[in-house]
Amino acid sequence: MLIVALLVLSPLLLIAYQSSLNGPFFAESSRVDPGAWEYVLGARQFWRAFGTSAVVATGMVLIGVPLGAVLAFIVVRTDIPGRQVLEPAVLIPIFLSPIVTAFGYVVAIGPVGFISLGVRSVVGSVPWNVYGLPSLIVIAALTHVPHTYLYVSTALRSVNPELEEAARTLGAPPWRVALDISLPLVRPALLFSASLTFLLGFELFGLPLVLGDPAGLLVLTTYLFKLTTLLGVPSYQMMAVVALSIVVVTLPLVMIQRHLLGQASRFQTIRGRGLALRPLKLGRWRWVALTIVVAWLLLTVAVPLGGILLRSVVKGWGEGVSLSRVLTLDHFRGLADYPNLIRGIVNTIALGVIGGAVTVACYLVVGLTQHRWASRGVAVLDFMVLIPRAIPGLVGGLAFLWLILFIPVLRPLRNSMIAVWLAYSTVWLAYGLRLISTALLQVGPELEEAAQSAGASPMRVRWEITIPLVRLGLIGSWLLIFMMFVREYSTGVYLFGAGTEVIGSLIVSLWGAGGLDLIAALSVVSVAIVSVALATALRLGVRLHD
Amino acid sequence: MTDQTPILTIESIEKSFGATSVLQGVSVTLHKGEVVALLGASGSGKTTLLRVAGGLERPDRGRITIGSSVVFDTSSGIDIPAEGRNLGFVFQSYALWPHMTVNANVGYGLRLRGTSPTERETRVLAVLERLGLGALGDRYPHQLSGGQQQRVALARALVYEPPIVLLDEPLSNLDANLREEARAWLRELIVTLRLSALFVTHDQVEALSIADRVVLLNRGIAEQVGPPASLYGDPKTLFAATFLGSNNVFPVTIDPSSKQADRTAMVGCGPHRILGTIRSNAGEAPSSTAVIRVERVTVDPTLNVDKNSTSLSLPLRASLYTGERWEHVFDLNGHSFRAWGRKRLDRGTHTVHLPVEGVWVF
Ligand SMILES: Nc1ncnc2c1ncn2[C@@H]1O[C@H](COP(=O)(O)OP(=O)(O)O)[C@@H](O)[C@H]1O
Ligand SMILES: [Mg+2]
Repeated sequence: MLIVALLVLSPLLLIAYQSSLNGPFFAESSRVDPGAWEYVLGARQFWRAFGTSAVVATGMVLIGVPLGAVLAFIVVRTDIPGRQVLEPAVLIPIFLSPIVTAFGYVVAIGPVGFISLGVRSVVGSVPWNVYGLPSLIVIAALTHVPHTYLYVSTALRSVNPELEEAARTLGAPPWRVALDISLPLVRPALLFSASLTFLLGFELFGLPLVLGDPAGLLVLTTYLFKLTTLLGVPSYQMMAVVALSIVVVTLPLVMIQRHLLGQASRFQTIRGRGLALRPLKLGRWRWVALTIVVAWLLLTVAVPLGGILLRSVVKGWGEGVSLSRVLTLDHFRGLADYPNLIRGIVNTIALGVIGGAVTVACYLVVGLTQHRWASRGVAVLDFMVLIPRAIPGLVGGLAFLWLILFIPVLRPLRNSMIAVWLAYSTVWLAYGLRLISTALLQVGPELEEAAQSAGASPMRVRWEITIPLVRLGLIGSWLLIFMMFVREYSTGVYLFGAGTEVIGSLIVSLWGAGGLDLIAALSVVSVAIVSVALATALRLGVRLHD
Repeated sequence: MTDQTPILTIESIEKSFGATSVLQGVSVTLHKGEVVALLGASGSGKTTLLRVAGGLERPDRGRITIGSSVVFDTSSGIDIPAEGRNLGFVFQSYALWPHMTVNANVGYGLRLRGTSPTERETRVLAVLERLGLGALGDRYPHQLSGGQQQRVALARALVYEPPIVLLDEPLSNLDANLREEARAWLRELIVTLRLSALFVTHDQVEALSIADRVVLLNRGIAEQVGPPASLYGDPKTLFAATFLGSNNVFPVTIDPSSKQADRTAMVGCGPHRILGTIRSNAGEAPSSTAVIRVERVTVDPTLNVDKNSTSLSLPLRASLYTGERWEHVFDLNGHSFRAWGRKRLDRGTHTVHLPVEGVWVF
């Protein structure tokens, strides 16, 4: 528990401390000085980035939450064709790295993207611009729809279908049932999704880096990332101020979510008595519904993934280029020419497999401490593990870098994968613990109580009863953590160095250098790794959400 | 009152869930102003049939006509969805929306029909007053008692005056003492509002007391259809006979030589010989089953019985006090045989009387 506190709190405290100095925390000459705060809070660019973040987050809520709610209603509560396929398919964007997705959009619908050129050859011009605020908002909203879907669909599953059927017998067509009955009944889940989407909007990094930056558009995270370039010199105290200003927004959101989640579980009492899930018969609306879902899937999954796949196997692309002439596998061969890229791929897989397993083991220890154990200490712990949710990966990575520089005994960890692993494990703590505690709660309490009354100590009960029973859940958590680690990119950005490359941070750094061919090949590798894990998870019957 | 215009015709409905066949060709007709009960054991497919009629479940085969329009027909591919059938449906769980007040719940059907807010208010208030809920319009469902919730569910289904109401076990969620009162109340309401109602119940007393006609469902087919009195007093099958009332059921062998033109015959049960009425073609089989309603058995020794009654001397196993009467359990050739009486009986052997028209042989 002390370790958790240390891992969670020390990075934040260090950032807070740094933000109050007038120089790097390791420099002898640094003094406490509010100068950095004054400078940043007085900078127009900071406020513009702040405003952009707020606008993007708001736009994501306004577009993404209604769309996610509608998708959830259609997929969970109606008899649309192909439900079995659509249910897992809707979740795919969660497992895709945003930087990969962003890049995919650029090569598909960017100025010289495959689709753009196709459209131009037909209509004469491209009626959209992938760079800039509107497209950033729309794309961010579309790719964050699954988060709303996840919570709303879970809530909808617990609504008594007779409540919906009653409206139908009174004359309500399906879309009115959704608007008047189903969605109002899951209002807590909708509120939760809205606050989560807003939070994720503030933490957005890959999409604004790729889609906003070329148009001169900065959000808080990209402002932080670009700060050194903007100022000309690295300024620790300014970075700390910006980082902290992000957390100042996100931390209250996490508190709100915690409150809403409590409400949502209380709302579950609306469940009827032991009812089978009966989907609403849509009749002729089925095809309308299917079109909505498929259109979203095409836009959000097929377009970026297709773009990357295609880009990774062509030499170049432009008007009048015929596909068969430019087909090549050179980009993949090219990966081998760069030892750091190969190392990045190996590191990523090792981090996911080995690091992921160790992480799950650590989370399990924390999870078991919380498991059926109500004490004040646990309540504090419960609260503390939520804090990482408020820390964007970029900030988390930065904090760990500093932490390693700050504490002499940790300095050897600099440029080691252990540092990356520590940062990843902390950033994903809240997510991972939820997986673990969900698995632990599947164990009937009487099974544990039986062992206890037979004379087993609490330790033995856990070791011999609880853990063996949740084995499958642990494997599932491992797979999910693996996917999250492979997909993660922002946490590794500041920890990036020789020996600590991972695919995500490599793409970010290649993006700065403009290595499109290699980015495409790396992206495909990353998607392929995640796909294998996802397929394994589906085959094992791992629940992708709770 | 009932006239003979069919308002709802359900024809040869078949429905299976996966491998289990739940409805196997059920036909039910509801006439204008009539109350029909679907009676059956739990799991007999009553709710499924009602949901099929309401458009909430799609049958595999069959035809449904409401008024003069066909709303479902497998042969011509017609399938009007639930919202297009203009029925009133009352769910067993009431299905009141927890996020809406009573007024909003009841007024929803009018809102869907584009009624103006002022008219809506008047009509909602009128139906609430009619159902004795006048003051509760601003409450939420969870602030109401079970009986009140049931009436709100009814009000919601009645407010837009649908030609037909379908009710699924409308009284089953009420407390036992409330239920008896509600029977009379519901019957009176349906009759005074001149509703045509099809309702589902597993409670025979409810079916017999509320309905004009009862459809007895057994394993997905309509076993017998008729007015309550004929269903109770003139069952056509062993199932119908034993499903209703309290019965003594025992195996018998028919003496073929004793068969009369009026279908009476002498049957044997061990050493006992009993005069009974053969109810079906089953009379050809050597061994059959005899049924007699418990209330038709008398144990009064002073009773002057006519020649068409069988008198048996049976040993008493036990006399049980049930509050309203005594239940005497005799031994009939190893089977328990019950009779009701006003007084306790002493141990030993007693004479019981079985009227010939009360002993049904299937
Ligand atoms: N949606 C369903 N899926 C599978 N089986 C069902 C479904 N609905 C009802 N059944 C089955 O059909 C049979 C009849 O159910 P139901 O109509 O509810 O009976 P009743 O209302 O007479 O008790 C039961 O065996 C039930 O398990
Ligand atoms: Mg039922």
